[in-house]
Amino acid sequence: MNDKEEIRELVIERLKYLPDNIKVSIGNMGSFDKEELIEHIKKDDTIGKKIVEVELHFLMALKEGILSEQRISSD
Amino acid sequence: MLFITRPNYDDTTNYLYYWSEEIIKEAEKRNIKVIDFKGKKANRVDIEKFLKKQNPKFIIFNGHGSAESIYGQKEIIIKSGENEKLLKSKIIYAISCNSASKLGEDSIKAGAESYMGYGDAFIFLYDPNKCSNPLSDDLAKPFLKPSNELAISILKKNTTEEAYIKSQNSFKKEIRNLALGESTNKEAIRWLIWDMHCQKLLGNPKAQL
Amino acid sequence: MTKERFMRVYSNLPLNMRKEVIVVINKEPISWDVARNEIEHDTQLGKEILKKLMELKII
Repeated sequence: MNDKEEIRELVIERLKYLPDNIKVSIGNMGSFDKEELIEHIKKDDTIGKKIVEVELHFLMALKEGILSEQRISSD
Repeated sequence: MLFITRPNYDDTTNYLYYWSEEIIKEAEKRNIKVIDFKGKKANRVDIEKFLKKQNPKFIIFNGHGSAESIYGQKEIIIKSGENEKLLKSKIIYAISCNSASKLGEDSIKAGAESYMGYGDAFIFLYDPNKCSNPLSDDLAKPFLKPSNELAISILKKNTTEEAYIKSQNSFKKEIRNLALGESTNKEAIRWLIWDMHCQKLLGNPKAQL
Repeated sequence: MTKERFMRVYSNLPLNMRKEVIVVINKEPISWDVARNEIEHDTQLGKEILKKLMELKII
């Protein structure tokens, strides 16, 4: 499995923990529930790529300590 | 004068439509005249006609968008290379995906004083059971507050830079509350961080009403 | 070195986020907490986790 496939697999596993009763509005792309988000990631289409991009952005922000208590308390 | 467009034809525009009510109330409280083009009125012909005749200082565009355009009620109303000069001398806040990239830059080149918006998708979480009453939706609230903070800050005669900073701080506060508290809405953090980083201020940072 | 990088990122996470999945190894989702446990005890799985996290640039 290459890196891109592994990232998709990871994002899918992370999104599985989203509640069932929510939807995500992604602008012009539309609004999606959890199953639809996961489906788009599996298809690796434009919407799927955007969802993965946003999740990676979040993981990178975590790496940089965006949620460290000191940082979010002092901002 | 505040000119605001409020299309309403899908879940996203429905939420933006209702979120804007707080902004309109704040403007009215401050005796700022509000021209509200909602629903079908948010069309290109009527908007162009209005902007050619009138001179609102502050414009809020709600609706879908792209790098080159902003949508009204199911149609493009402002498009880069076509009519962005209508935004000359104005302060713009566009809650429209991507428009702060090309359209925002082109608007500034065409003389817009300041353009605030999002350089990529504006994403928010919501409860589909609350679509008939978006203001009661606690999932969406953390997204509403920072966005409205920006607009309300302008109405309070802060500079665009001050408004942008207040909005960014509002994002951080929402993120902090979700990260540190016992909230069941922690999923929102990822999209709040995204929106916060996509939010842009272009043009004159000292622009104000 | 990579262990320290992991611990630095891990220690900056709010407590309630440490149960989120951070890597998938052999189709098994692994949370930050489980990853930390394996890495701290220098297990084979811990080594695999660290390698994957570095490859995916998550730490």
